[in-house]
Amino acid sequence: MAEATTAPLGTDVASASGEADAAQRVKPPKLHPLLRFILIRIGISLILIWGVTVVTFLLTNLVPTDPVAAILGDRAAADPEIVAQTREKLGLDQPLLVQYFTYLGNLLQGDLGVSNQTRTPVLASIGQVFPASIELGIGAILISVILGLLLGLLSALKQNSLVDHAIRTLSLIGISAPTFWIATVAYFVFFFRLRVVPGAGRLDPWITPPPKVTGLYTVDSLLAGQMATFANALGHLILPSCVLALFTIGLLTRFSRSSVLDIIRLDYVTAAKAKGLPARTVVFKYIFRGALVPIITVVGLAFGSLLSGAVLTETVFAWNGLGQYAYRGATTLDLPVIMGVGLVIGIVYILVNFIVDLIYGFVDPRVRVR
Amino acid sequence: MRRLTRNFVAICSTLALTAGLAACGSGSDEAGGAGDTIVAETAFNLKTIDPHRQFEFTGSTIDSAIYQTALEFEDGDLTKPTDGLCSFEMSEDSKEMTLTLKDEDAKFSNGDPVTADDIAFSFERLQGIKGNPSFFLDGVKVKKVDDKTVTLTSEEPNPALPYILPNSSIGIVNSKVVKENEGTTDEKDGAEQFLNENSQGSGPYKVEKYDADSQVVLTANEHYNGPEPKYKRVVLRNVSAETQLTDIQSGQAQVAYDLNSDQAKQIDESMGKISSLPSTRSLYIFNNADEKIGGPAADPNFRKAVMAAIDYDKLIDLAGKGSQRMASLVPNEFVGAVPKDEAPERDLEKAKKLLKEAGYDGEKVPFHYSSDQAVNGVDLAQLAETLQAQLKEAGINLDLKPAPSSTQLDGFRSAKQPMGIGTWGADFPDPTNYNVFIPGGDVADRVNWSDDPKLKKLADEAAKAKGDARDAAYAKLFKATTDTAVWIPLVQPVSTVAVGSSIKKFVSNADISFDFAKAE
Amino acid sequence: MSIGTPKQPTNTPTTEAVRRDPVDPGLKRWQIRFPKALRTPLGFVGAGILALWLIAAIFAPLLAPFDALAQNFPRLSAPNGENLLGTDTLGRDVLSRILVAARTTLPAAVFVVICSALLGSVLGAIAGYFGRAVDEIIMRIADLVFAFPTIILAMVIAAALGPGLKNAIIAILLVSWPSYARVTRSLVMTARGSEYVIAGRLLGFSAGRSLAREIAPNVISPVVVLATLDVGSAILTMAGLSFLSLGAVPPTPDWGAMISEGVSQFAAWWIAFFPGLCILTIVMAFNFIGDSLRDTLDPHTAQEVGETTS
Repeated sequence: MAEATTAPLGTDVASASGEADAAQRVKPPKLHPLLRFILIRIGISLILIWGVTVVTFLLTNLVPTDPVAAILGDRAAADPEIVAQTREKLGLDQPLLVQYFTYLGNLLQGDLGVSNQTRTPVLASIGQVFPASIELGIGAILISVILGLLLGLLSALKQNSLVDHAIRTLSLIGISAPTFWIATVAYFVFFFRLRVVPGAGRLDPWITPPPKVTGLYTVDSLLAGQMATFANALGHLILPSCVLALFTIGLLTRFSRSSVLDIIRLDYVTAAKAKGLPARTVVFKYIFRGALVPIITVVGLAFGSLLSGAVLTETVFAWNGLGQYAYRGATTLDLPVIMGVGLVIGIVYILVNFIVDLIYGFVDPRVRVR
Repeated sequence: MRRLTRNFVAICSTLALTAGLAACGSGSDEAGGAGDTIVAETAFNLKTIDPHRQFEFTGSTIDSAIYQTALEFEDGDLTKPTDGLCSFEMSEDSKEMTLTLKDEDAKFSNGDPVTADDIAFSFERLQGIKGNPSFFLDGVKVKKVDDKTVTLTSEEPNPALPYILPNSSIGIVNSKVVKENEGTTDEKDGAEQFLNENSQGSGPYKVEKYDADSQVVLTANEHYNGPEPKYKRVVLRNVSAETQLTDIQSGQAQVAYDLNSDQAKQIDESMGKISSLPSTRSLYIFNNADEKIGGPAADPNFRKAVMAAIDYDKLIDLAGKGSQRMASLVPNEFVGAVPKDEAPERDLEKAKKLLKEAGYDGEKVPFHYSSDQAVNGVDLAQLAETLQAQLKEAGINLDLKPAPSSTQLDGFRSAKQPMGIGTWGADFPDPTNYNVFIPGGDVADRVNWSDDPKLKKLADEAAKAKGDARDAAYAKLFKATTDTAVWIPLVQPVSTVAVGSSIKKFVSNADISFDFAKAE
Repeated sequence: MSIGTPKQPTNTPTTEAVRRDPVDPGLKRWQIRFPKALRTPLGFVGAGILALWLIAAIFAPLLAPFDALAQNFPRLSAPNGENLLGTDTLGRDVLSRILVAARTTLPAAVFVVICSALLGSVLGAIAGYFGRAVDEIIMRIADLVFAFPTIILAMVIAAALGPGLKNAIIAILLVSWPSYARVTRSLVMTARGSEYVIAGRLLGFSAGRSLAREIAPNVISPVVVLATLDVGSAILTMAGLSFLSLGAVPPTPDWGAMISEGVSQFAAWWIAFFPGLCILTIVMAFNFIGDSLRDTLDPHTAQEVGETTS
């Protein structure tokens, strides 16, 4: 999916090696290479997060809209006294640089501002909607990991067979469909016509959400022992997560196929086969394990891409998550909301990349040594 | 390898089976909602439910269930203000109104009785905090006379006051509790957050949970002095119109506020009822009267050509059954409305002739509208596309300029747009609310229309008129306004509420589109 | 660089360039391999679908049965003998609108991809060739762009610039150049270390000449493959933006906008279904072709382009 394409490209070793280059040039004091690597990665991540705040702030200041117009009603907007008072309250009478530092200062105190549309603190709202997206993301990841790995494995083991071609074609089709369209079609067919899944939202409307522990309705309802609520939440989760998974299944299938193909060519697998070990043992003990590490990182990165794929999916399914929140913020040009969501998603991306880099640092010493 | 394939298939089918089971589990749930809860749905436009700050549809829907007002409309008839918490008397010169608290044992949700102090405080807080609805009581002096009486005095005659006081923004709050929670009658007021989470009204419901992003839950106020509502709990959810439709059809929700006419048609009798009432909204085209900004639109002949080029019947078709023609911006049910048989008609020949006189040669005119807004189910983007096609037939070329509401409003309010679609929702059902469209008024300023001696004279006459003469005088004023074609009235949309079949009896009128407390 | 790369985390100026025959740089191979790629079944199907779409787009005015803007049919009529794919909420013929929409979508997507490929490759080449501070600055900016989900960043940019096709193109351009920059940078870094480039430098060739004459041919074929795959995602992003009414300004027909109209008219499924099908087939065509092209690259370069890029 287009909205997700950059996601898997997220981290890269080119940049890691770039930093390593830089580090070499300045000749740092002798630290354990791994520790040094981690410190550099933390530094880079912090700089990126700071960059994200600058970008969000600048972008939203380019938007030709006056938050005052969004806040005030028609009659109040005609009263200069009320307009001036509102501008002052929002700090809009200050120069841009002052506004940025105020924003940054508030940010450090965990204050992301207040929505122009709902007058609700952005952080509180994000706290509300984030678990919903996480729940959807986990659902989609589970589905796509299981199906993607199996299909990829199957495709690789039967390389160049009809099955392989079919799977590769299907995975290409999977990443070619616009999510918002698939979501609409799936909703129309499975809910509107067939009624095999429940409607939009995370729960049927008359069901009270379970007491909040994690914010994930499925987990919370289990913790509270409310089986009916659990079944309902799970039912609501199925269709949107399948739709969202469609794209990542395609990615994972293609990726695990090529990883497995690489491993198969390696000597130790050939040796194991030659020793006459049963096919299953070879597959699971050697091939799968070898391909697993790169695959795990793709899963990590795909999770980030799901967050953005969710923007349009959540809108169709009235799933009250980060994506829908971002959509509402963007369509109403609710600047504090857009800045808040951009920042949170940016930080999540950077954190995921950081973790992926660390995994490589541990797994593949070449990365940190260079 | 073969075994692997089989395993794979097995895993897949297990997955599918779990999915199927879960789907069945939820599918078999009883549809129709739990006994005493009403689920109502609307696309939220909600900033606050502090009555004295609230100014949007969602907020007023909620507040009218929570707060009582000093006056009300008799059975929802917007032309007949009547007693609410108070009875009222207007002085001969329309300058002084006396409100007398009725002896009906009205109580706030914490059990405190409603007093004259609460009424005076609520009025003064509305005025003092300088919020969106503060203008309702502009120029009105509030005075508590005794434990039963409050007077409202205006410098100028204020015959609209009885039509203003029923507004839910002027809800009566428990002054003692609000003051204890940083409530004041000036700009320092800090009770908004408190009032969002702890409503202080004497109406049938009180707030249980407030979440401006997703839903607001109301529960019955056990101290309410009226008949006990059958539905003890109201859940108002923030969902889009298309979801509202499927939720009504499947019985997941009982009330939907935002269906457009096409969607409403899909609800048959087994699923629910549609209540259609004239809305108090007006849709119009604005034309900038300043030649530098308006270009061709500043030319009266061009504007009149636009007026003659519009196919009004098709607009009615688009807005749906129950929508009406308008001969001025005043809704047809109000005092001062121009009879709708005087509404403009399509006449392409006339339009072409007028264009020739205006010297218009097909240049593109920027046409602004909010791309994300629907007014009572009329999607402004679709309306703009329709108008563009219709005007094209007369040779007028519109260059569509969509923008999100906040950008669009900003441009319109700073008087920089030559032409576009405007919307106005009545703040109160009185023609004086439409004075803003007359030169000198706030909205007229936004199209740089500053002077028109003839209209000014008519406006002065209308302000002095009384009784039945008032209706005629305002109608004359607004007819003359339409004749200038600065504002071209398009359509008065219909307010549609879909009510699910599980509700057998309900009250829906022009004042309150669905009364939760009276639903059975 | 892509997810593909973690498998080759060394990213060293490897033997690859050495392996490569300097006299026969990528350009020639690319010329030979393009038609060969299209002979694979997937490539063939993709090229076929694409050819059909090109014909449809070019001859849309002749093929469209009605005026795409005329609102003279009954509103919301289901597909029938006259309106083969039904009519929309304003009584316009859906088939005609779909065909005409291809005329804006296809050129716009190709244009945006060419621009971002050029911009990204140039920046990537500069970063890769000069290294150090220039490299750091360009690649950090690229990282920053990657830190935002494409659609959200594009959404904000398009909102900031105002709706319209031109602004949507700018938004997509701004978010899509970094993938080219990454690929080009690593390819240039590889080539820079190769013997013939070093030899050229010793002969006193300028940086510009060395980039254009010796390095560019190695970079072109991977970039072309990446760009082919990217046309699909550009179409998807563009459709996403117009779905959010940030794309082409009405009344210009647009697939994304048509789907968004259909979402609010659920019973009239044809309004959203057919434009979605158009997007699906055309993106699929580009992915099929791009995938086959990638298979013709040598495995190492294919990995740079990204096994998972779509």
